[in-house]
Amino acid sequence: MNEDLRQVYQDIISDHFRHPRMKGWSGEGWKDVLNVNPACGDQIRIACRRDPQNGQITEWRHQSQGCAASVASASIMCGLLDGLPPDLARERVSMYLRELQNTAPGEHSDTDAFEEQALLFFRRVPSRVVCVRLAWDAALRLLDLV
Amino acid sequence: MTRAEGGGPADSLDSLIQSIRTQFPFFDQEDGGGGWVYLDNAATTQKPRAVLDALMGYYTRYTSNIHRGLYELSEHATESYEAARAKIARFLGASQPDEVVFVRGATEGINLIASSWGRCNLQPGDEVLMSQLEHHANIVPWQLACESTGAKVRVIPMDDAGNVDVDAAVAMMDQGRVKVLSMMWVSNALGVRLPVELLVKEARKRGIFTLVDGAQAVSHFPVNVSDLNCDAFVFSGHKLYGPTGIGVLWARASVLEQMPPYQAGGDMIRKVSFSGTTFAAPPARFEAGTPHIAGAIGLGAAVDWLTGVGFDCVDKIDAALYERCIEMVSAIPGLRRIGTSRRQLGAVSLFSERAHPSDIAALLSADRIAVRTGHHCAQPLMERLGIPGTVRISMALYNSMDDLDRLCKSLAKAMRMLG
Repeated sequence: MNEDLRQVYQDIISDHFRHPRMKGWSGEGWKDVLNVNPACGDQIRIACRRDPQNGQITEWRHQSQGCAASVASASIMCGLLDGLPPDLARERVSMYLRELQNTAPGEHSDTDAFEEQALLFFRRVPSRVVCVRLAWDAALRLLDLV
Repeated sequence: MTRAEGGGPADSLDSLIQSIRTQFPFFDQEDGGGGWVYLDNAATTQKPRAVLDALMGYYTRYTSNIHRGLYELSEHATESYEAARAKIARFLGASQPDEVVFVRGATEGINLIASSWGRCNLQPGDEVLMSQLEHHANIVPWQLACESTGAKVRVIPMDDAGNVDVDAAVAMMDQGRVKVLSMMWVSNALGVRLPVELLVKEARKRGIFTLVDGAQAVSHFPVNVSDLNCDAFVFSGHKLYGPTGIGVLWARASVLEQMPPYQAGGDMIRKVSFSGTTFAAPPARFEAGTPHIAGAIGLGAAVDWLTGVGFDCVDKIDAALYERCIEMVSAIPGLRRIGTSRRQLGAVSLFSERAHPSDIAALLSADRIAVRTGHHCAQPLMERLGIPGTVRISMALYNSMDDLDRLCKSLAKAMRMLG
């Protein structure tokens, strides 16, 4: 497990932490939600709007200040949700949050994105699940606003 | 620190630490502390066998409620509970055991004073003075008391090393509105020892009420509240090798006597009727309901244990571990020490521009090394320092030089990985 965890850090998580994708936003119509981890003070702000040309799909961005788990989670999540219609985005976020709660070892995951799977490694470290959840919880709240 | 060859001072220190460590069953458990390097002692300490035996003794041999049972078991429990109070009074240099109130911990002790004394004595415009380094447990209870009385919290400035500005504190007191000085003796976040003796003296000269949070002090140096001459003092048992859920509020008798009850219930009354109730004298007035009997007895055992080790010995181990820790972490690239006052003990706080504290801690945990990360319940301090949090290494009497070797190897590896 320890080696797995290190692998996650060294590869996907570390890459998204050092080079966060989907960072920052500009233009009209954005709504944003700030989520703070009271235990460490990490701040993850997620922004979303309906695409100005195609109102049926959503655009996602973030502005994150935190640990590798929280920043990489925001980066990965925004990449996965960007371009999805609100209903599909909500479904994806809800499913992911359910998966994150499920700590059964070796349990089958419906998540097919490799990057999401990487984040699921944090299920094994309950104290870090809070970090991973910050972005996804914010997204769920945000979907009520756009 | 240089380790001497064969039988030198370092060897005698190692064997001293080893003799203490063997008294802690935690480190023998394969499914527990065995294999762990435990360096989160400012959060809570492990418990020596003497404390565990005292807890088990109460639970297996004389479990019964205190104060009102007219049978031998209950009398035994009462005697043990009150004996613990007397031990703690001696440990603190209090003039009488009745000045010792059992509470859940330092947090409850401060809440008790802020709520009971504060709400009766604070008035609009009064000021509660505290340091920039305070734990939330000393900030928020006073904020609540201020909200309900119209008083306000004022903060003594500090420099970047963590030194409290004594001149500024005295100047603030001289402005005449300070009613309370409430401050920690040792910073949980940085390990800085604050000039409490000096500031309490200045405050008392001006008739200011003084409360000292001794949570991080009592396990590191001897405390004598009579010499310190403060009005109230709090600490938690679990940071002093004692049980969780038990702590102490000491306050001078004249202070406790004028304070109204904080919570109400059994054991704190003199006479109850539906037309009105009169209250017991302190400390019973502040110990409503069945207290943590086993905890108090266990804390008494912890105080006995630490007194048996002796503060000369504590000082020797603390100094050696601290010096070694500073020397080793200073050699790791990418880590900066936060809190570089000359008055430091017990804890070393680190920050890295390129690696988040939580990520460092996760990698240390993978090597079975326990440290604390984050803001350490001192968000205003972190804001003042302009950092989100630190990695805190906090040491206790059972930590060996090998523990520090393992920590530093793992830290160096984590920094290479995250940097």
